[in-house]
Amino acid sequence: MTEKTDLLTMFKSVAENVDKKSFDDVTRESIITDLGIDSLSMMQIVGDMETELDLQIPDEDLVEIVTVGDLCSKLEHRIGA
Amino acid sequence: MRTFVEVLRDNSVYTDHAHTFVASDGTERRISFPELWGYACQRAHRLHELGLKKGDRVAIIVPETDSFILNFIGAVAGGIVPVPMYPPLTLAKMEAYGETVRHILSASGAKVLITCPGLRDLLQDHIVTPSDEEPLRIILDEELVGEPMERAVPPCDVDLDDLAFLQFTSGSTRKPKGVMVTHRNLSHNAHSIMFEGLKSTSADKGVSWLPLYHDMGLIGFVVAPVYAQVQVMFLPTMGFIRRPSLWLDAIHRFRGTITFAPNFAYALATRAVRQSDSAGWDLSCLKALGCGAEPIQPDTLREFVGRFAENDLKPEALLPCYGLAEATLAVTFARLDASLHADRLDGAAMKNGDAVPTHKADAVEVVSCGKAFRDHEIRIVDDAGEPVPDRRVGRVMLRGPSVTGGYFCNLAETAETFVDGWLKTGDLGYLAEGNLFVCGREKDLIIINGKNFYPQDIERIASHVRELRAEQCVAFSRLDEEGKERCVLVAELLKRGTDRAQLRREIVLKVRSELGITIDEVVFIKRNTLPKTSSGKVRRRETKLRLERGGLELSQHDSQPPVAHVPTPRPSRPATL
Repeated sequence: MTEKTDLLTMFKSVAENVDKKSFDDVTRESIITDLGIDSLSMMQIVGDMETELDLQIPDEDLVEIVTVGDLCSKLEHRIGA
Repeated sequence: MRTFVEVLRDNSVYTDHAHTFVASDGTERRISFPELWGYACQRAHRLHELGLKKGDRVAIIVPETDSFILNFIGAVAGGIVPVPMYPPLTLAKMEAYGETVRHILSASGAKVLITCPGLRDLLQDHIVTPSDEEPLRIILDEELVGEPMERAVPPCDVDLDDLAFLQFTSGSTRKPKGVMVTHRNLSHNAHSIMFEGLKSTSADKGVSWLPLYHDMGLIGFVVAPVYAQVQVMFLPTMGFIRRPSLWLDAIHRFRGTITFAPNFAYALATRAVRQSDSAGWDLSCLKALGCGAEPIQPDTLREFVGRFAENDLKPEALLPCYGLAEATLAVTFARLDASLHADRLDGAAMKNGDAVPTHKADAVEVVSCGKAFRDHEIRIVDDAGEPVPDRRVGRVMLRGPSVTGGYFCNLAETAETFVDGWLKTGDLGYLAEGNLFVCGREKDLIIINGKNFYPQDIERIASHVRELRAEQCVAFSRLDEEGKERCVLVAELLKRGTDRAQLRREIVLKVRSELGITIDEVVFIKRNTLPKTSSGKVRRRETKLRLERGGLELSQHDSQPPVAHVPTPRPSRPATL
């Protein structure tokens, strides 16, 4: 459970750093494109989180990421692996 | 003058030359020049066996660079016209993606799509409609795989005036147009880029992460380098976006001499490359650090060369250039060995279209994109089409052998853009001693992070918000303090007493979820005060000017726009190469 909260927190701070605006209200259910995050920023966020966690989500999984929770789950899955 | 196919064939004697493909997991694959030719012929024959003929169009949606390039050169060697398309990026946008793909398939008349197994089902679900009379045929790239042909001979002849491929441009958000690029266009442009612009020899090495469905990556690194026997290292685009250090690390390892990127990539690398990544790099090998495809911000480039000065990156490697898909790729290059040159101009004079140099501290900076290539001509004209003198801002027109024949099966748009041998670029700029300075766009296009948005699309969607007066709003972009382009919407409210904060959120969310662009600033104005022409059309530029000068009649309780607005220091910004 701690890990889940942590990834959401990490998402918020990384997204804020990339897009220079606050993402405080974001939940795991938030749809990433609805947050105004475009594909380019999204990839930067994925990259920054991957670097921080020292792991990599396979390219073919990236297209399936729609919500913030989807991204967190993909990362959790890799942390668990 | 040789076709791209002849160049691939002639290059097959360079057994020690190869392209290197880096996959997203970091593995590398080398394909030698003889193999490249062998594969091109093998795939060309395979495509003909599968029923494709010379002149047929074939769509390609393949994310892996090696596979994409082999399919591309295979089609070209078989006289088949490739139509490169971008792969889907997220399931959240599949509807809009499907719409664009269906439009391109129909506009190009492509009946066959080459893709990879991982994307087949997704594409099948979203781009094939049950009502299609002639269903799209999907070929998986694994059906085309084979050994490179020995003593390879292509299945048919291809000559200079044959169509090499169709480059779809983001002409509008949903309706891209297919630029017809012939082998003659490619050959002219490749020579200009490689020999005149880059003074290349076969000792040069290119490094690129640019997407291959776009002209800068495809022509700049797949087509042009082979004319000079230049070897290229291809990196995965998404790999670079996720880890920008990949790009410069590859240049260091591969001893790259030539690379190109749009402005945003320089900002991204400056921000995201860590000291621990760059510590051991030696970037002294770079001779051309090309910059184009979107407005060039001199400060971004200076910060980049400043950041990597400790890695011996030469500041004179910076190479601004200008071009557009309608002119194959590039038309002007700054001088290879010159430092970045930007004019410092008087802001007030610029508002009147005069580029007057100044020493004032608050000068407007515009980057020089250099001179036109030999046999190419630039002309700046006024609204009446008459040429204007040096340092007077006007419409940029181009002529020369790189200018293409227009848009595929689209006579109306072709006639509008290609007039009496001149290409109307849609950009605004001025000439000074033959050097082109691009300083704005004729059309009110909004470019954010390299993506084009039409104000009409934003206005259409915003108009659906109940509390706004339908079609009484305009969208445009302007620069913030950091020189970043921000999107603004000025709208008339339907009635007073509306909760403005709530309404702002609703508008931003609606536009964002449909178009993927975030409006940074929403300004409400009084009813019937939106600037219009006599025929009732909205006047975007006038609205923007009035907003900046404080000349809009803000709706009551809205005297404080939500974002502090910064006067735009120049008309708008250049859309370059």
